[in-house]
Amino acid sequence: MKLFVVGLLTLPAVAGAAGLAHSLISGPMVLEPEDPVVTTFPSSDNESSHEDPPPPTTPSDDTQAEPEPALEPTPAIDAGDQSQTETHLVLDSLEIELGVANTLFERGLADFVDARRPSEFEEGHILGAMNITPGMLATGTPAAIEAGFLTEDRPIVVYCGGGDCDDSHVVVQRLQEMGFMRTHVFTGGFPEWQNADLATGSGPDPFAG
Amino acid sequence: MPNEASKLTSTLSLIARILLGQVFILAAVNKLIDPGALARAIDKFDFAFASLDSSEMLVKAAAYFIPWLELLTAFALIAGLWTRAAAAIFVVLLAGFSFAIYDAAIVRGLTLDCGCFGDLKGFCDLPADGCNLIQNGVLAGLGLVALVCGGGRASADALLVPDDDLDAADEDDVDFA
Repeated sequence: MKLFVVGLLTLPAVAGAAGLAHSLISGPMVLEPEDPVVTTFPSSDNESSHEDPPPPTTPSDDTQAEPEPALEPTPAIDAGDQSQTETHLVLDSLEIELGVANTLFERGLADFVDARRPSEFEEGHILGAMNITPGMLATGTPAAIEAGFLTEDRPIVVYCGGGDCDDSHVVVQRLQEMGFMRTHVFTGGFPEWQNADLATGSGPDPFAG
Repeated sequence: MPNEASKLTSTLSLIARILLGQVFILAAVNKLIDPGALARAIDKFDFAFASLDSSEMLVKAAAYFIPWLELLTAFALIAGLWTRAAAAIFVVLLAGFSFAIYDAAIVRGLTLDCGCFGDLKGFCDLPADGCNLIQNGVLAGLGLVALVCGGGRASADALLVPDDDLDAADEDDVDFA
């Protein structure tokens, strides 16, 4: 019984001391936002009075072959309230995780690009994604970009097979060179998305050759 | 006959201690490599205290404290030092982790990484779900074996307590079972 009590007191106490020392050595820890900072606030009655940048827009529907989640500003809290809402998105990191990617998808705040081979894309991809591989970018401008499907002011989420797959990073680098600076890598890739049982589609990319 | 029973419990305890200790050393080391990742994983659970002003501090404190507690307790368990206390700590930790996963992932339907093994995948795929509860249940079972059986002969506890006293302690410790 004595050993039990001594152990029960000593182990947490030593762990606490070690943790404290660790925190002092490590310096300040930054809790990076896991979800994108989405701020929704009521605007003034007159929309034209806004000085903030407009919310991101979806590309024109006639170029969109697959259903893409449309941008839907957060509904007004009170239905009788005449104020409008506006959404701002801040993504600081190049790499994003499943939670962030899913938030962007659900709110229709980003376009998704699948950097895997067309055959893999055809078997399954994130719903609404387009297929742009490093090879396509090396040989010219993919049709999806030429058609204006990607825009510079709208976040782009690029993914591949997760794990050691590097194609998404290559595509992001190339897209950034082309001026698409709001481009991010979804590190978990399609396997993580699929395992999380999130929305997927199948079939070839309509923009593909 | 009592000697046979003592050998059996001692062997069972040793196996449970080594298995559980190794798992937690692996988990703790991976968390200690990047406490920030653990803090973010804890933060995603969106606990009830998240609305408090001090929630960020609590999350950071937990991110430093839990891995060290796991590491030290795992070493103690493998060495058989304060065996029952170490096992009890693991059982309580696993019960707490399981409740958090059940509440966040199953009741509230959050999609999250349990952060159980840092960056390592562990035994279950993402996101956290019932698989993590089963995993924790198995580990807690190992902890209960060590808690019930004690350190036995192959433990540091046996060195701290003379043989005769250990026999007496074993009998006394039946209360823990």
